[in-house]
Amino acid sequence: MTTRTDDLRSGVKQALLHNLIRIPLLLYVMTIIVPFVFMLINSFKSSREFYNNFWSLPSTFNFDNYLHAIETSGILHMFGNTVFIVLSALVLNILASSMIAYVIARSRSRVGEAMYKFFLFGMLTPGIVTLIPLFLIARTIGLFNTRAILILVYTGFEVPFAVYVFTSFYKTLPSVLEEAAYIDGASRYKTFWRVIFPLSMPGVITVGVFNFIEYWNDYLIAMTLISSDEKKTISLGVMRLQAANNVRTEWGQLFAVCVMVILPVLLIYIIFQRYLTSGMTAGAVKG
Amino acid sequence: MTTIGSGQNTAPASGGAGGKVRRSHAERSRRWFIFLFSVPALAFYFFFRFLPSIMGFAISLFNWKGVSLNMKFIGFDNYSRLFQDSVFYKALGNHFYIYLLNTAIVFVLAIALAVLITNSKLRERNFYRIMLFFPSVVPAVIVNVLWVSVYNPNIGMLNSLLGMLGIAGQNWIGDGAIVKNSLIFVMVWYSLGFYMVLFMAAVLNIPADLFEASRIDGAGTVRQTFSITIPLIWEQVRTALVFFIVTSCGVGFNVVFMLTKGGPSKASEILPSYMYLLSFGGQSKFGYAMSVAVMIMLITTFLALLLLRLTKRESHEI
Repeated sequence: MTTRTDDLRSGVKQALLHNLIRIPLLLYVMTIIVPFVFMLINSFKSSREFYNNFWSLPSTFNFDNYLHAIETSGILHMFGNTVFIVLSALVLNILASSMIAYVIARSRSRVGEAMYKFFLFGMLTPGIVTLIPLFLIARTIGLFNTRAILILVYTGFEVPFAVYVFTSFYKTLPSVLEEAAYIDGASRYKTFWRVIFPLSMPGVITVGVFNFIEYWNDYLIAMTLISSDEKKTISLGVMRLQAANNVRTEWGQLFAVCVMVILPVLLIYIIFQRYLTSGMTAGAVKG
Repeated sequence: MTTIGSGQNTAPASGGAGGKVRRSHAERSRRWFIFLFSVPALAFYFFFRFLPSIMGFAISLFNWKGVSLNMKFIGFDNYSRLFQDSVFYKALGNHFYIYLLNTAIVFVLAIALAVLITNSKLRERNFYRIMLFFPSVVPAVIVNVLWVSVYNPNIGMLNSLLGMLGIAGQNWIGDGAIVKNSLIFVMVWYSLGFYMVLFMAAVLNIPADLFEASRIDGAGTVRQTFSITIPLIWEQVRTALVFFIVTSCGVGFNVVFMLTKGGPSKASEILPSYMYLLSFGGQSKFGYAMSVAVMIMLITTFLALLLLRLTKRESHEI
């Protein structure tokens, strides 16, 4: 009898405790969900409907804002630019970083460790202080306002993180694999590309997902190094619309563009969120 | 660990004189391999990440308008001007206020939530993990569009909600007295989930038998939290702290640059936004702006080292 009341009491206590944690957490989660839902709902409303009542559901789901934004803001072209730049930088970074990470992971000398520390420096300097020097470098080598400079800078920026992930991955691979390949007469190059690299898919996905988000979300480097409209990335497009919004307020259209820009990131997040967490527990901290 | 190509090296090493020649050949090809595989990453990193990080100090010794590549060497003039610049001191004060408060709030909440959510065994804890992490993957420009609209005094969500509750609205980012706190909220909102998830993983890595053993010894949940959980994740917290201080520089800039541009009347100006205003933001004093950037580097390093020292305690190895 006493144990049952004890159980009951501890059950009630537990439930109370859970709600004590749950209620503030749910309130906080609302500050995340509500703005995004608000953005989505209002992206379907006309300006008049928005100003009438911005809490209401749209009377009809019309895609006018989306169509209008696509026609007038050049957003599709910027989408294309961004996809091209992001994918190029991703491929370059994954190839270059996995190669050097293999060297570092298999090196017995101090060179590997020294390279590792050299890369760590890059992760410990705030990116923002590099803007003016990057501007100078880009102009000096004649690549200012080109897509190429963005690809190069994006690659350079994320090399440390990628090397970090790949190195810790290669250290877990047993060297028996390579020895077997050597006995079969494969060269080092062949061994890496045919045996080691294909095994590094978990690393490729972790680096790919993190860097995709990083590159897709960047506006700061793009804003510094790109000046002409036809080379702008998607984030710069949003900024231009937002600036226009201060003058001629069209929240619906601005929200519609935001929804389009966020969609790829949202998809990646939903599909790969497991890898995001595992990439972080690999010891790689970024924010 | 093996050296690259150890399998290849062992075979010819057993030969006689001919073997020696072959080994040096193998050694040469090994070095070529290391060289070819290291150069691309080193080059990308050196020219577009490392070099820009260290050449800033040199630029700060010049007078440079940014229009052409003409630069005039002026020694430490930019710095002596900087130390007499009242806006710089204003930005410096705001900088410390915003970043220290942001760091304290994010870390206290992230650790507390990570411990609470993992230990409480709430059924929906995965839901919190996914929701709270989400803001940190959203493009910065969109975070800012959202919060400009939330904080808008006339058609903003926040004032409208407060109005329903009968509370008078505020001019959240237009009132100098509260603008810094409004911005800190956005910064916390953006970073908290990322660090919470990081610490949740650390808490989950603690071996369960430690808790079991302490329970047998009569330790309650609170005691366990402070004697086992927090000491065992502490080193990870300190590493995260260093990265947070470095990366939050950019987060603060995003928020200030797009929500307030440092206003009203410099009430939310911080060093990164002041640096931008002085250079690309229209004033075209790139050398001078770079001296502000050097101060950002110094302060960031100083804060990181200071906090590392303050959080130092006996390390606990599992």
